[in-house]
Amino acid sequence: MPQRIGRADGPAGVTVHERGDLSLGLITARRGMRTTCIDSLRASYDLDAPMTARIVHGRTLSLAWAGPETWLAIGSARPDIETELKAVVGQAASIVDMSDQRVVMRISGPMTRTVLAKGVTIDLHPRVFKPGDTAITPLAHITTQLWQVDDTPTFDLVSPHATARDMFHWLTVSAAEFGLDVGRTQL
Amino acid sequence: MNAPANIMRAAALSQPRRFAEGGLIDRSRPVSFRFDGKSYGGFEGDTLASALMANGVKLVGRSFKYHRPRGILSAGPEEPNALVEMRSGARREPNTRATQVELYDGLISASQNRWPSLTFDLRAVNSVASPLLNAGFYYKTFMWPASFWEKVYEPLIRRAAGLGRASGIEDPDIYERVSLHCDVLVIGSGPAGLMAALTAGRAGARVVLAEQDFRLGGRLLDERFEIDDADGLHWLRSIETELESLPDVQILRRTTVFGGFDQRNYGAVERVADHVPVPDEYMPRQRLWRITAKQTVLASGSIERPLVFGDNDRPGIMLAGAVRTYLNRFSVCAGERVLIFATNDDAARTIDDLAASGVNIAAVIDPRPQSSAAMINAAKRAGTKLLADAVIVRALGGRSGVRGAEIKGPDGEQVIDCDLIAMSGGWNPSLHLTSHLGHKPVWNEQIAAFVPDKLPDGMRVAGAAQGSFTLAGALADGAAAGVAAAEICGFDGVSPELPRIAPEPLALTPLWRVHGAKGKAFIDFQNDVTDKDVELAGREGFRAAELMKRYTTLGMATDQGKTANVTGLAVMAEITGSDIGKIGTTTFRPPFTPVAIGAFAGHSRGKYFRPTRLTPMHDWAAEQGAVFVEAGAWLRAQYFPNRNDDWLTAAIREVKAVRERVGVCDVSTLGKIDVQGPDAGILLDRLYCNTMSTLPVGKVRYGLMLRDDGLIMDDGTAARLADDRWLVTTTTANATKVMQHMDYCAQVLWPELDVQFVAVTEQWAQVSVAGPRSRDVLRKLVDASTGISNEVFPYMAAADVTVCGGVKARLFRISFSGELAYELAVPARYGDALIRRVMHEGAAEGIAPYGTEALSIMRIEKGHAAGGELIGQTTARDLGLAKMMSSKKDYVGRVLVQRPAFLEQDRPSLVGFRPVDRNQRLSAGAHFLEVSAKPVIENDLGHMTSVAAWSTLGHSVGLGLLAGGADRIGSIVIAHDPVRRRDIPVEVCHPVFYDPKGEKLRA
Repeated sequence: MPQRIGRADGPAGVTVHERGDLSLGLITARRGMRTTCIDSLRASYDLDAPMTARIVHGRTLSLAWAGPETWLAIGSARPDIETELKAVVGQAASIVDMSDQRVVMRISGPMTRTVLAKGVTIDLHPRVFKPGDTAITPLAHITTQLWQVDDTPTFDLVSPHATARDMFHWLTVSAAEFGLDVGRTQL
Repeated sequence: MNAPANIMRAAALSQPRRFAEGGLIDRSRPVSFRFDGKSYGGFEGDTLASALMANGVKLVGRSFKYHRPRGILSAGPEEPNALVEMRSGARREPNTRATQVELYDGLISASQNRWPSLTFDLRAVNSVASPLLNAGFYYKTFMWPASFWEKVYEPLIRRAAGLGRASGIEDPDIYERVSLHCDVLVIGSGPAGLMAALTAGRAGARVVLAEQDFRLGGRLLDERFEIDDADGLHWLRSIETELESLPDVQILRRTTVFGGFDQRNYGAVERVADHVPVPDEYMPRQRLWRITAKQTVLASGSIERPLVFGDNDRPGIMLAGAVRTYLNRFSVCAGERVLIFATNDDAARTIDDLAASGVNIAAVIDPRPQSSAAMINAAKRAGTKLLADAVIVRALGGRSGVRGAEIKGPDGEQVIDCDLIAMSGGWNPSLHLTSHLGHKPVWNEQIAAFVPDKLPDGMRVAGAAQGSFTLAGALADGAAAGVAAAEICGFDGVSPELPRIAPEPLALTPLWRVHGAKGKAFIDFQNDVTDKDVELAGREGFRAAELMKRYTTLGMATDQGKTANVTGLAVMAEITGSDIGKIGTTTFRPPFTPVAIGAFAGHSRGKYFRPTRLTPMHDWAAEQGAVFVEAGAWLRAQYFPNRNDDWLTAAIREVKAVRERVGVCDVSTLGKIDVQGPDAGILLDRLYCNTMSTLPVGKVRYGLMLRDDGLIMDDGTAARLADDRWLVTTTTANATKVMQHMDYCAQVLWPELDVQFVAVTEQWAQVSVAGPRSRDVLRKLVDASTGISNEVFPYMAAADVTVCGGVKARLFRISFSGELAYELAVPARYGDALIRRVMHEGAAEGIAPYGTEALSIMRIEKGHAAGGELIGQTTARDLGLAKMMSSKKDYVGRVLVQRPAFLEQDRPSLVGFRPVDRNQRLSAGAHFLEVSAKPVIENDLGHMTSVAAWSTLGHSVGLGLLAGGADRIGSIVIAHDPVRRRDIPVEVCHPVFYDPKGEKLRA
C-alpha cells in the first residue's frame, strides 16, 4: 500500500516513487571527438545521442542531453556503468559514474504539471514540453534535470543526493492539496 | 417562518443603509462580522467597506498625521482612508483596504491609528498643532543635536508614525510560489479585458485573465450599462461562461498583477484564502504567481480623482464613481441627501443612478461656467438644481460625517445641507504597470490625465487604462488588442462584431483645487498632504516631481498616491506656472498594492529557507547523538557528546582518541571534482600555484589555488587516478566557488584545452580514519588484494581499491589531523553501511567518532591554514607557503602576487601563539599589540585567526597573522580582546605545535 500524504479523499493527484534501480553515467565528448563518440554509442546501443534537450531510449540504455556534447546515460542497475561506457567510447569521451551523485524520482498523475509549476519556472505546457523533452533547471533552489516520460503526464526528476530530503519536502508540501501517493522505492 | 429566513431578516434589518432589493450580493447568504469589537450583518458578495456602509458606519479610520476622522472614499485598491487591521492574533494583518476585503462570516477587523478609540482619539490634538506639522517638518525640526536622532527623535517618530500593527508572531499560514506561462496575459476583467481575453482565447492562444476582484466584470458590475439594448450584466455572464469553457484560458480571480519585470515577466498575488477565516487544510493563504507572457494586454481601468476643497476629508465625502459602485453592485447608499460636485460629465451617471434608486439629490455643483448638456439634462431628470460656475469651498460636519457644504457661485455663497458628497475631478488611467520598467507616461490635454506612452516589451494597453473612458471605446480597444496579441503569438485572430452602445458624454474641464477654500484642502488623504503643503514645497524650491514627493510625502503612503499624485503635480504646475506635461510623474514602482512578504518566500522559510545538504552518514551521526553545525549548506557533526558533555569536553575526548588510538570523521562534505582529458594536467598547473602535472599516478598532492589578484582562493588536494584522470578536492565552504572558477577558466580563458570535469561531491561518502591505529582498522576493511603497508601505500598515496568484499572504493593516505590517517571513499549508497562497519571493526582499537571541533583543534596544533586564515586577504607567503608558488610555470595569480605590498617585510604572516600564563584561554579575533602599547589602530600588529581552547600540549594554542611574524618568534605580545575585555600576554612561536617533523603522519 502506498503512503498517502496531504488530502486523503479521492484518487491522488500525484504519485511518486524513487527509481533506485538505475545506473547513471555522464559522458562528455573530448575535443573534436563528438562524432566518434556518437558513432560508438550508436554502434553499441543503437541510439542517436541527442544534440538538443531530448532524451532517447534504447533497449538497455537511455541517453539524455545534459549540456553541450554531454549526455547522461541511464540504464537499469548494472555492475559498473563507468567501465562499461569507457569501453564503448574509449578516448572519445570522459566518463564519470553519477549513480550515487543523483537520485531519480518519478512523479506522475493528473496534477503533476501543476505541482511542478510550484518548483520550476520553465514552461511545461503540453504544447511546449513533450514526452522525451528534458531540461536542467533549478527546482525549489535545487539544480535538477527533468524529462517527460509520457502523457499521463509522468516526469523523472534527477537531483543531487544530498538535498534529496528537501526535494521530497518540496514535493509533499506542493502536492498536499491534491493528495500525494508515495510508492515504495523500486530496487 | 423557517430559521434561515429569520436570520436573513435579522441581518437585513440591521443594515439601515441597504436597499430592499438589487445589487450583486447574495441576500440568501447573510453573514456576520465584527469591526472594532461590534457585530454587524452583511451578505455574501459584500466587501467589508460595503457592509460597513450598509450598517451606517461612516467613521472607519484616523488619518496618519493629524488623526482626522476619515470615512470610505473609494470602492477599490486606491482607497487611502479605510485601512483596517484584519483578523487577530498571529493572523493579524495591518493596513488592509476595506474596499478590497471580501466579506465572510466571522470576519474580525479593527480600525487603526487611533488611541484610545476611533471616536475619541487623543492624537487628534496634532490637528491643532498642524501649523507646525507642515511639509518638511521632520527635516526642519529633528536636525540637532545630532546625538538626539537615534536616542530621542527616531523612537518618538516611530511611535507616532505607522498605521496598523504587525502581529509580531510567526505566521501560521502557508504561502506558495507558482510559475505560469501564457501567450497572452490580460490584466483586468472589465469590458476591455474581457474583450481581449475573449478574442485571444477564441483564436486559440493560451490566455491568463487576472482580476483583482473576486468577481469578473470591472465597471460592468458598478454601472447600469446597456449592451446590445440589454442589461450589461447579461453580456458579462455570457462572456464569462464562454471564457470558462475555453480550455486554454485560465481565469485568476482575487489576483492582483502587482508588477511588471524584465523579459516579459509579471508578478501577481492571488488571495486564495483571504475570504475565509482560516485557509482549508493544505491550502495556501496566498499564492505568488510569476507569469511569463509573450504578450500582455493591460486593461487595468482608471481611478477617479477627488476634488480639493476645504475639509474635503470629512467622512461621507466619496468619489462619484464609488457612490455608483455601492449603489449598483452592493445596493447601498451612504447618504439620504447627496450633493454632487463634479467637473465632468461622467458624474451624470451618478445623478441618474441615485435618482433611479430614489435617493434625494440636494444639488449638483459644476465648476464649469456653462456646465454641459449631459449634466443639465441629468439634473433635470432627477428633479434637482444644478449650480454651474460654482464650487464647494468647505464641507461642514464633524467626525460623524458631513452635514452640508458652503457653496460659492455666481450668486454668492450659500449653505446646502447634505449627508453625502459625491465628487469627481475626472479619471486617471491606471497605467502603473506600463511604467514599472522605467517608461514615463505623457500628458493628454483632452482628458487632462497622463496616458501611457512607450510601453514595455510585449505590452499593449486597452480601455480606460489608456484613456478610452467610454464603454464602446473599451470594448473596441479590448477586441483589437486581443486580436493583435494573438496574431503576434501565431494565432489567427478574428475581430468580433462589437455590441451596440448608446453614446456616452465625457466632457471635462479640470479643476485642480478650489481657490478660496476654507480649512484644510487635502490632496493626499493617506499622508495628510494639503494644497498648502504643495505651495510651501513650491516656495522652498522643491518643485520637481521627485523633490515635491519627498518633501511633502505626497504619494509616499501605502496607497502610493493613487488618488493624489496627478492632482499634486497639477497644483505644483499651477503654482509654478509650468506645464504639467513637462513636470511629469514620479517613478512608478512595484508593487501596485502591498504584497505580504510571506508570499515572496512561499515554502522557503524557516529551515527550508534554502536547501540543506546531508551526508550519507547523517542519520548514523544523529543516532550517535551528534550535535550538528552548518557548514555552507551542509550539516556536519560538530561533536559527539556523552550525555551532558559540553562541546569542549567532548572535543577533548575526541582529540585524545585520535592522538592516542584512532578516530573516524565524516569528510563527505569536502568538494570533489573529477577532472579528465589529455590536458587535465595543464589545466591543473594553471589553476594551482604549485605544479601538479608531474605527480605520478597513485599519488596525492596538496595544492593552493590563487585568485587573479594573487590572494589565496582555496586549498585542497589533487590525486592522480590515471594518466588522464584526476580527483581534485576543495574545502567544504569553497566547493561551488572553485567549480565556477574552473568553469570560467576552461570555457573562457583556455577553451582550447581538452579537459572535462564534473562535480562528484555527492557521488562519494568519505571518511577520515586517523590515529596511530588507523592502519589496523583499515586492514579489516580493505580487501586483501590491496596492500596498505607503509612501504606499499606510503604517505600521500592514492588508489582504487575494493572494501568489505568487493565494493569499489578509493583510498587516500592524507592527513589533516597530523596523525597516520587515511581517507576512504565509497559510493554514497554504501556510506551508512561503511561508517557502521568502521565503528564495528575499530571497536577493538578503541575507535571514536570525531566532529569538526576536534578536527579544528588538531589542525590548529598542526598549523594548517583553514577558514580563519583563508579569508581572501592572505597570500601564500603570508601563510608560510611561499615555496609552493612555482617559478617554473604560469598560473592564475602569479603576476599580481608579486605586487610590492604583498612582499613587504612587516606584512602580517602566520605564526603560532601560546598564553604566557598557560592557564589562560586565547581569544580568536584578538588584536596584537606591543607590550604596553596603547590599544589604538596605529599600534595594531595583526590578529588571532584561529584558537584552540585546549590542545594536546595541555593549554590553549592559537594561530594568527602578526606583522613580521617569523622574526618575532620567541617574543611576547599582547593579545587585546576588547569584545571579551581580555588582554593576554602571549608568546609568539612556530605555528606547528604538534609533531613538527611530521613523523607521525608518515609512520
